[in-house]
Amino acid sequence: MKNKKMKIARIENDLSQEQLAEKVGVTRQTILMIEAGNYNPSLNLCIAICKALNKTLNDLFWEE
Amino acid sequence: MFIGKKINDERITQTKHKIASEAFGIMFLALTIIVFVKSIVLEMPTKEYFTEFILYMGISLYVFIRMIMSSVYAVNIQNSNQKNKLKIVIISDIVFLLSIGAIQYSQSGLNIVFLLFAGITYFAAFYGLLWLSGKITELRNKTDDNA
Repeated sequence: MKNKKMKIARIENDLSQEQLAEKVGVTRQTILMIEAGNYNPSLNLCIAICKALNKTLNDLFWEE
Repeated sequence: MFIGKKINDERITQTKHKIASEAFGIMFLALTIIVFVKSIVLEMPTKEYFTEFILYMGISLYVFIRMIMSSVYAVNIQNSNQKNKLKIVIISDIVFLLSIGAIQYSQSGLNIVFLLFAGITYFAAFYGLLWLSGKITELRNKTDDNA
């Protein structure tokens, strides 16, 4: 399932996939795959992404 | 906890591990085929394939010990019930006996007493190893619980 919340949060923070990847310390492909829903990140990576985007885990990774 | 700390790209690490694991599988299969062909098909003297054989046994032992020590073995076999465990041991025993029997038959004819002895020894050793690995896993789990 695509992670639109993360993509929207990234755009709100005015970050490209490349910039977010650099901030978190992963490759752009990893960010791309998370947003596309093709890769399940670990809790550590989720937290790092949340911190980089100033969001909580619920904001980005919780599906109702 | 995570502030200012760069993390490794786990996807890259996972992919690298997967590739290494696949490469290991291919190498191990090749090693098995080499040992099989040299020993059984070509009937070469033992010294001709001794290095490969030691490597084969060493790697198998290493994987087995690492699996027990990491409690991975527990997930695969130890969690299955006694009936399943017995089934695994019996099937592998039959495969072992068929292989030994085939080699014997092609070389000097069947020796039933030897086969019976080999079968019982294999069964006892395999079951003993399973029991031992189960005990080690149990002991490790208890230690982890108390930590």
